[in-house]
Amino acid sequence: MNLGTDSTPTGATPEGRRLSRGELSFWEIYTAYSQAVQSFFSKKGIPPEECKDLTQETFLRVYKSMDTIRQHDTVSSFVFTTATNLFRNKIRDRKTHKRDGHEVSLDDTFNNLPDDTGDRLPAALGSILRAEELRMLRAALQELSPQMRRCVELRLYQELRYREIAVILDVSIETVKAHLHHVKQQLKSRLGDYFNRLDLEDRDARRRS
Amino acid sequence: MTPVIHSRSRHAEPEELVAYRAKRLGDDEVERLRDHLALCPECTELLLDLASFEEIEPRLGVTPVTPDREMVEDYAALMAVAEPRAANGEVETGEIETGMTDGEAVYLPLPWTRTILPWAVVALMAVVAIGSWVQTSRLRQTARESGQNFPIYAYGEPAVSRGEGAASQDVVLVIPLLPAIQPESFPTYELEIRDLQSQGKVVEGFTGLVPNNTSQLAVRLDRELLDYKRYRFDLYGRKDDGSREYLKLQPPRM
Repeated sequence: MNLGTDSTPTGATPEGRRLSRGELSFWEIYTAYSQAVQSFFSKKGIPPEECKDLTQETFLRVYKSMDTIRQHDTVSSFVFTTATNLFRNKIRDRKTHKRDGHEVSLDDTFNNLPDDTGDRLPAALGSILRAEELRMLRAALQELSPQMRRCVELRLYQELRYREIAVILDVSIETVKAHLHHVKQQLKSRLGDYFNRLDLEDRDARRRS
Repeated sequence: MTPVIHSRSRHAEPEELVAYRAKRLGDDEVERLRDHLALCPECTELLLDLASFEEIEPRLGVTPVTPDREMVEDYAALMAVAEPRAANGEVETGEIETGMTDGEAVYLPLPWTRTILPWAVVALMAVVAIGSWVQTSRLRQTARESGQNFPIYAYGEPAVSRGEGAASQDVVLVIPLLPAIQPESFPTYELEIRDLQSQGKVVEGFTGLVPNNTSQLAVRLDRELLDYKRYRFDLYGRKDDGSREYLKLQPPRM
């Protein structure tokens, strides 16, 4: 029986079973979290049809585990853990299928190779320069306190926003800003020209200025 | 430019991330996990996902049970089926309807005639009732404040006759006395006429002997007194010991 969207687990009713903890029904949990779960899978590159299947599977597991949900801190953590485990199982299955292999024509493969011989030299030079800059940056970061270093790494390597860094490190946004400000001062003198190419400022902050 | 460095430590388990958010990890575990997160985009993304899930938690139990509003087309299709049925009285509004189209559910809000109108009618009736009660209370209060006398305003035209020997400008006012007062109880009477348009000021007073077996009292008044449009008669009986008692005047039986 379909319950309104393709991703609703089979067998559940809108009234649902009542949670043993609190007064929440399965239907309330589904209504609150279904979109978040679907976009959780979608952000990780899962095709839309599979996203719906995984969302349905997630809530089917939630439905079956309503009686044991009290062992979890929150409904959020329960739904999150279920969805993450399903996602990882899916990735594992994909890797298994890849190892099975499939036949490829060698002629087609060689014929379709791009002719980029002329571009290889500048690309190699750029790669060496980047490696050198990276080495300098790593050395500079090692002199920072662990908290400051993590702030810079999250900002530079993962391009996270201040707000997101604050969530990851469980600190306030003001602390993140203060850390990055101090780091700027330290790296400026140490890295010179290379520092000017580092982007420590938040995208939102840039937009405001 | 964005240099890329991949963490070489193992990925965090979802339960570990939940424990980190719940501050249940030890200091060493927190340091190790943070070091990993700083260099692992996958685990960082997972932790941000968990944080976004947690933002939903406070809304649980508050959110009305409705179909997924993001599925606008599905919802519009449901409403297209539900509304005509509600209009025909086939389904109740204001409740979650199920089983209309292969198990879908839809929430139909109550029409204003079933939500606002009944309360408006009740409120109007309450206002009228309260207004009436206030008005009555004011009248009773006015009566109480007027010397504990029961006011008699107008129970028909007082009988007016021109008695023999009366001055041309005088009239005789006949006031019904029900029940009749007896001279054994009150040898003398006192009658006060109060002008109700001048805060009940006494405009005329009479004192006399109570006649035997009479059911009416006749007093001679100045003709001008009849110009007062509203006046009240207060009758008192005075005993031998000098005490005075208010005697309630009653309207004549028609």
